[in-house]
Amino acid sequence: MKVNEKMISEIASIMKLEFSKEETTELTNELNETLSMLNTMQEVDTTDIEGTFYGTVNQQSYFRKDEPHQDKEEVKSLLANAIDSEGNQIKVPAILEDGEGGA
Amino acid sequence: MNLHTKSIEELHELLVNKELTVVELVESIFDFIEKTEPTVGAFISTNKEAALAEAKLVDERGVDADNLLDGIPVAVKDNIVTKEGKTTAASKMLEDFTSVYDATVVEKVKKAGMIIVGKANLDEFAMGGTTETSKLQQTVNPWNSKKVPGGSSGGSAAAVAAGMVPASLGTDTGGSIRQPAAYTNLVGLKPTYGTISRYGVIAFASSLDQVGPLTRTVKDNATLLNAVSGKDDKDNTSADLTIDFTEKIGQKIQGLKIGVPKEFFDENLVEVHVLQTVHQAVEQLKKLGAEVIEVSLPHLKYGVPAYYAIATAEASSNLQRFDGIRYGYSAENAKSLEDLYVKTRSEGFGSEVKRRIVLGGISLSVEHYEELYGKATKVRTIIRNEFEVALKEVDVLVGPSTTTVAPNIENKEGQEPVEAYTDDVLTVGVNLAGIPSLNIPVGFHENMPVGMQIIGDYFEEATLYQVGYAFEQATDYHEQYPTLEGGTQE
Repeated sequence: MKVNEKMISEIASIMKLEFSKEETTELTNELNETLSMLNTMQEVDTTDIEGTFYGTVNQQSYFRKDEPHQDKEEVKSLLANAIDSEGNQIKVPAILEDGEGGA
Repeated sequence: MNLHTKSIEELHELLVNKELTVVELVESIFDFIEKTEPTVGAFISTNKEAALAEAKLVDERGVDADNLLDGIPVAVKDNIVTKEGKTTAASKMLEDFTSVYDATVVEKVKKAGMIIVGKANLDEFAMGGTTETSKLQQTVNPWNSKKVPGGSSGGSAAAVAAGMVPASLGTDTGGSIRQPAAYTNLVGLKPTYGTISRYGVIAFASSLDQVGPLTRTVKDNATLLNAVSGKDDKDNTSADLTIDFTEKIGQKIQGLKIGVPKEFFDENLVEVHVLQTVHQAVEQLKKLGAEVIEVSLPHLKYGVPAYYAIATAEASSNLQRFDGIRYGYSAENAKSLEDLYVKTRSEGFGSEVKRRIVLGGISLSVEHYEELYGKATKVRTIIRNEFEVALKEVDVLVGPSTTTVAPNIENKEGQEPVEAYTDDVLTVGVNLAGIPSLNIPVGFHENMPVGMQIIGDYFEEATLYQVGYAFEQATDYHEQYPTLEGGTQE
């Protein structure tokens, strides 16, 4: 398993990261070394083995009710961390570029 | 009076006997931090004023003679959020971030009467094993300032080892408590997954992350674990426990079965002096009456690839929340929302964090999921089963916590990422399995500490402490302290 610079650029874009050409080359080389180490897992026979996805002892996912609560002081402090705000809302840069429709 | 090498238990006695007030203790600690911190660099931030105010309150109401932790200073790793001061995760991304709430563990140490002295340095977002990926400062090993303190909880370890605080909280995703504890002669626990609430702990890999205590003695460690563990409605993966983790402390280990996994004692993997020191520790356990049995964990070495495929996958998802909008760093001059995301993340994260996000993205990609993340979850099952089988045969497993003593700061910087990753082979298996492991000091090589892990079955921390305490009572390694350069240690 090997990756090339094109794939690294694609993954970076999905991860909302950008790298210069030199960084991409270096990252690709480093990741290929790491991937060859990760590839040693293929030596393990995992036929009929179920995956472990949770940290908990009984391998369950837990759910809770998603109940909203509001605390005015909390809202104020939350907004203080935000990039910009107006009233009780977070203000963000324009979603549309140059007036063109997005996705 | 030298307060800086005292255990929680010893400090408690002084406080209760009124030989010392909490204010005097906290003042002495800050005087000591002022002298030692320029060398050690353990803290990203400290808050003397708030700590002294808390100390005064405890003095006024009187120290609770039944609560060992009342009025005891503690350091908190800076990826655990606190309302007081900043929480940075040692990243440019959160350099100016102030949390709206306290993490559950922070609420719990406060409720126990402990006094938070400051926030300890770490590898950026806990990704690293040397604390060198911290974007804010360098921490050195108090035993030798040319050496790394380990990581990612390097600041938490260095603060206790240097004598600045008697205890600290760290986090351990793949060895980040046990490895720095081993490098700095401390007792450090990675609890069973679910023992301590992760609410308010900045997520790295959610199925692996656990908070844990670093202390000078085994009993202190168990006492602090009692205070911070338990079910939390804000973390659904936290376990409902009614265990007193100190209950087996002082019980003999006569007849206890101790497994020695041969893969932990591989000369091709572990440096020979570390092996010799741990072998001697095993002999000591035999002398104390334990029965030592060789066992095998044949897939242990596949823990490293499985860990990096899983931890980076989870990290790539967890770190998507850093968008430059709601909190944290925001890039200047972004042309659009998309541009803001990309610029913020590219400028805000350091290179190791970005490397792991991209690796996690590959691990989860349609093209590579089966051979990376998918395969790793199955290897994880095999490793977990092997630990479970071994721990049916024996009460605990022991082995070295690290492959070498703490390396030089320069050496690690020039190391290829993949070499640094393979150093984690002795610690990551425990995180994949979800079981607990305790590092204890077992000796020195060239004046640098060597640590041994005691690994147990799920929620068997009390047995780990039992073995650790028996060893501690028979030896004096835990009573050795570094002489900091500059002669600041009294």
